[in-house]
Amino acid sequence: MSDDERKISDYLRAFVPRPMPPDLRQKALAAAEAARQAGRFLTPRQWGMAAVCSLLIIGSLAGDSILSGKQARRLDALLDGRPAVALIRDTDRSALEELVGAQEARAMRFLLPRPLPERIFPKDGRTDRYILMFEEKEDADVHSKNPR
Amino acid sequence: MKPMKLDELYDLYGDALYRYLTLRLGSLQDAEDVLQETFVRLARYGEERRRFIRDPKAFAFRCAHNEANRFWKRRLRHRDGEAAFRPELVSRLFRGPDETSEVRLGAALAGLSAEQREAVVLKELESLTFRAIGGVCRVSTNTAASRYRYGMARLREFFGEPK
Repeated sequence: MSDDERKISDYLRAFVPRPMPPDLRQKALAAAEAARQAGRFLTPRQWGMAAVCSLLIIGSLAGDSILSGKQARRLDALLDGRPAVALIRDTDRSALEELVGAQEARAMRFLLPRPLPERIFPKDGRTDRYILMFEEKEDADVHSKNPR
Repeated sequence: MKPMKLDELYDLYGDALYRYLTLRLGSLQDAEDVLQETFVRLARYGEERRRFIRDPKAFAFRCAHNEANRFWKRRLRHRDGEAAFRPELVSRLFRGPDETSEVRLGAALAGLSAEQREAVVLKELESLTFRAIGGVCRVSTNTAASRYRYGMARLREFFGEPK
């Protein structure tokens, strides 16, 4: 800071504030307290933004459920109306009941696997034919390794 | 850090904010209204959020600055800080070393641009640091210092050799 600047600065600092209106403090703090009690913690603009965000969240949730429902219906339609996701729990439970009895099976229900989607194979018999081919090939390999 | 209560904030900075707003808005009544809005805004932040404020003085001035801008936007639909300054209000707010000094200071401040005037007032009359002034005006510290220096240069031209 140059000497001239310092002189100007000293000159300005020689000005002292005059007393303020006496009721100003009370008015300002009363307005703040009234706003606090009225819950005006968000401005109208912030309220608007909060409402828009809420609508977007609700819309995205509703849209997601609608779209997933449509997708499930399309899959069901591809499978001739059968549910695309079938549970194997019932099958496993009945097998367990046969093995250890109904009461024990109920007690051991926690050992059952969690519900898994059943694998859907085409009904044209191609899968069965492939499985048969693999089994025949395995048998042929076993016989070739261990000839009688 | 213990959060500052509103009445403590007012006791420390209320009068300074009122002077700053008066010089910025050019009206005692408008400054009073905007000061109330500033404290409403400060109340809205709540004590929990005020706990994290590092420099309460700079923060209070920044709130006042923003409220003044909102006031202009609402009232005038544009920022018109240059036209709002009224030199005669300086004598209502400050007492100078002699009788004519207040009038001369008002005339000198009227010769500055709004940004330079704000920087000079905040630095010399309200004792804010350049960093705080930058925060209040949303400019860098260097820009705040630069505005102050240009303002002081023009005041020097106006005053010549102050007594």
